[in-house]
Amino acid sequence: MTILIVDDSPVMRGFVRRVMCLAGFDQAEYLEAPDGAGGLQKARSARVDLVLTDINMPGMDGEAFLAALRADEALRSIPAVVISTDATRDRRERMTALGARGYIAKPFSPEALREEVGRALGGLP
Amino acid sequence: MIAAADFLAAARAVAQDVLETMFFSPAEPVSCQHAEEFVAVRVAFQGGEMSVMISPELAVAASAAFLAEDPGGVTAEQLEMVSRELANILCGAVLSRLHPEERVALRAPEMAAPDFGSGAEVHQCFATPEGRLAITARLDCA
Repeated sequence: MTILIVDDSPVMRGFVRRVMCLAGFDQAEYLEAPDGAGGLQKARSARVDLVLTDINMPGMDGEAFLAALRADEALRSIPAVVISTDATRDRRERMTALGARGYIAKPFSPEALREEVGRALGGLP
Repeated sequence: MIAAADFLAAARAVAQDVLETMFFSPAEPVSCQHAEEFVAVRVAFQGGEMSVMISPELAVAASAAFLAEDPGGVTAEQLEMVSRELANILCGAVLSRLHPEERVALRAPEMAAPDFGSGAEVHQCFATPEGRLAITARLDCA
């Protein structure tokens, strides 16, 4: 399984990766990108099974990234979970409309991330 | 416009949740006691700005916990990145709590000089086992 983490903060990418490993995804291969454009490039160059993305990023933000994923026939079926400081209803609805299968607001516990990813994947490993 | 009292109440609740959930350090509101050498991060948002000041001991401990590193191995660059992330999460969570129906619009967090609240209506200190954290907010038209 390959998991793509898109966040402009390298320490946050590391935190998410560590929490995912603790959540049972320790055998996964992890790819990282600092923005949506980098994430799109990684998704096009490798077989990605799950995307975890922030929203507020310089350059291509999370909204544009999800829209680009959904516009690409080869990538549109990849489950995406949004991880953001923005817990507002408007943002959740917008990201869901763009195809996000899960949404988790910071702060989050490892258990909460595990549950949300499990929902997005239709089950946990 | 955000009312100072509402912001303060949200900050008190959120800071405890954020520190415990993602930085593994229980916190509680306390009376002020801070020093100029605190690490400081400022986050501007639509409606004002929030500053987060972290004592050096807490900054190292929180960074180590967040990164799963030994405290002695935390670099200055890592400490700044984690402090910016902490401030970003705090500010986003406060604003989401205050206005759950609206989008949160934050600027990128920046390292800054400490702002311990002189003249500000929103200021709160927190104690953790590892050190102290202070939050100051300056709200537009408050």
